[in-house]
Amino acid sequence: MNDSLILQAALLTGIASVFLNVAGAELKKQGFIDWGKLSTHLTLVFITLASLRLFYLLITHDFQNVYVASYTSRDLPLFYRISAFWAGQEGSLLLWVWLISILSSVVILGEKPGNDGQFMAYASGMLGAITVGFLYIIVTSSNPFKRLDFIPLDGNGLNPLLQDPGMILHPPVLFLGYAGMAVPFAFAIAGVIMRREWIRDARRWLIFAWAALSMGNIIGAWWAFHVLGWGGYWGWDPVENSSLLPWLTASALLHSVMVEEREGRMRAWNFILITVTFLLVLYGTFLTRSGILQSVHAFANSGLGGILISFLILIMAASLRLFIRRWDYLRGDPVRIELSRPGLILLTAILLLVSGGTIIIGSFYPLLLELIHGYQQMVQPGYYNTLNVPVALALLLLLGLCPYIRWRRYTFDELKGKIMIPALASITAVILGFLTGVRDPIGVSSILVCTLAFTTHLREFYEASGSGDGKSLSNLWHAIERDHRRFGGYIVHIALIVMVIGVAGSSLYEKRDTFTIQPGSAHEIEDYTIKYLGTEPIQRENGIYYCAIVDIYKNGRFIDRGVPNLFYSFRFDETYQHVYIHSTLPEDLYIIYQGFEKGYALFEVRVIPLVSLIWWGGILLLIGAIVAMIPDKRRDDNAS
Amino acid sequence: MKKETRIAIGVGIILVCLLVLGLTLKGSVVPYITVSELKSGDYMGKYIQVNGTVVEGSVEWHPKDVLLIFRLTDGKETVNVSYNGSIPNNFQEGKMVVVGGTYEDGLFKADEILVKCPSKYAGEVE
Repeated sequence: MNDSLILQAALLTGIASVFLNVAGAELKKQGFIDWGKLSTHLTLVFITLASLRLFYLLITHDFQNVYVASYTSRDLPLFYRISAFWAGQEGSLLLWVWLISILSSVVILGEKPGNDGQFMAYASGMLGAITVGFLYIIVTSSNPFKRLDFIPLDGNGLNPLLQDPGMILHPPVLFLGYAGMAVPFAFAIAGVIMRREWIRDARRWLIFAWAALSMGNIIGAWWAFHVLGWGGYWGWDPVENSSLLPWLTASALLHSVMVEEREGRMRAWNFILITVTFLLVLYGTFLTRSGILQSVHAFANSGLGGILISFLILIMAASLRLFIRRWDYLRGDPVRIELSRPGLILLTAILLLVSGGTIIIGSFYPLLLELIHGYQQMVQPGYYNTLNVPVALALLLLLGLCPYIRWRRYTFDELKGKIMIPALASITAVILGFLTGVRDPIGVSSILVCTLAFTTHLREFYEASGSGDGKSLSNLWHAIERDHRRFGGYIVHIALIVMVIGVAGSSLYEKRDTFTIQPGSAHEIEDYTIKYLGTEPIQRENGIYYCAIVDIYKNGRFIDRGVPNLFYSFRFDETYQHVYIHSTLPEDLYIIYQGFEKGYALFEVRVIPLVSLIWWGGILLLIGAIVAMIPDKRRDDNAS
Repeated sequence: MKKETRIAIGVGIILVCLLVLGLTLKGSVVPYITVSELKSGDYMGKYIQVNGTVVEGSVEWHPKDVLLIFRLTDGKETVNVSYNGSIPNNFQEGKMVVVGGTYEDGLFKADEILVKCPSKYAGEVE
């Protein structure tokens, strides 16, 4: 059977669902809408069949399939045969559309009784249109079911760098965030068409997509840190940037929707932010496939760029038209920058957009230079750091003030009394930091704003646990149960503070050393002594592992035996470094073994402070997002 | 505050931000040139990136001093490169590399060596 037929069937039912939903919504005919729902579910059935089919082909080594032959091989473990689904372009796009299609059906199934059928139909129509767009690309030029006219004995195999648990998780989680953003976008379009409030329906989806996007990026960074062996986790590569951009705009949106929900203001902002977020999601997808910017991530130019960019322009034009036609509804009382929650939210949104702007300019500047000079020049990471560190610190300062600023307008005098304790705590922390050697301006200001923000947030939890002698954990628990969104938000804020501490510590105070060493001798770095015992080659089916054995001592005491190694892959005829990381909360010892020659082994060793806080912060962020998504037992609208 | 003053302050802030952005951007772009361009242009003492192929048989590795010496060529000109540091992943003779550093007195002192991805590396999925 020709498997591509399943995808073509999905395309047909997808198109049907768009027409039925939109016609049903325009003509207010429930019959059409019901058929539209059925088509949406049918589309999901077909795409699921296609995806299961691809899994089956991958698992059973059907090398006649081009995709299976390109990304797997006979010696590849089952685990990675499954994850090879998203190792290449065709499978990634199928995963994308599969996720959107699942979410579209979940939106319909999760519809509350009594909800406005017309609104849901517009939203489903929009989601259907996105599904159709991607299905069209898959069917016409990115078919995962292409077959060879002969059967190869073995496939090309999966790049060893991708054979890692981080790579199993990173793409699907990131795609879940991407696909998830389509849902609030569809609700926004439907809401603005009907001049109707859309945020109540979109809110939880927005948090969900934002959390997935955050986790996708964090897992990607974690993978880079553990696998790529350059001791870093973020390199401001154009493709990394492209997944950070929608995160920044979505973060702004998470805050600005509160203003619309409560006061009906910032409608235009919210519509623009969700549209821009979704366009950036498409841009990210486009960038990875087009090869227009030099990047370690980019697939070779696949010719998909053209279709994707037209898709992007189409959505941009349609949103712009809607924006102009509904200007009477979208415009409202403008929010000013002032000491009130809307004022701070506006400032937060502006700062996040500024950060996004610098990143987009940095990504495209090489392209501009290419037009002028005829060749690309890379923008160094320094550019992004110089501009974004001050913005990030300003954002953290706002984050620190946010628990104190409610919806009314405040004066500086009112704030002064409240801010005393956190301010004292911050100054104490700065002094402590100064005594232990934190003297550079970025380090000092990071400590200042992080302590401030941390203290103000902790105080909220402290106050929620009751007053006077009646403090108890159960009080705190009830407070959280009454307002999940608020406390979930606070937990996410604390997670971000923890991550910022990790980023600041690891980037400002990393120590590194490259040295050669003879077997039996030792080398010292910071408090650590590394004793090299020798290298043992271990041959396996797929290659040779050259394992260096090192004993690690801290302050003279043995703590660990590490085995950093070099892996030579027969299939790829390349050598890959496998780092050894001795991770503790205060610092990671990062050991890279680079080979043995003429009696000397070569090592690069880094002591990276606080880097594990980034990963712990990520877990806390996930917890906070989950808390924020739990429905409240009794939502008191006046609690902000 | 009058509306005009607010607008003036706003425009002023935006202009200053754009200026800072432009200057930072300009300062953080590194010239990316070939070996011939290095030889013919005036790049003495400036931080630059040079691309080329590692000349076969030119690689000397002094493990004790952690010093890597090789010649880089673009087919027409060659330049001597020294690099204090470990050999990067996938660094081999005959491969395309990009070296970043400064050029002085006929020697290119590299701070970084980037090995271009082999064609088999389709790239990671993002």
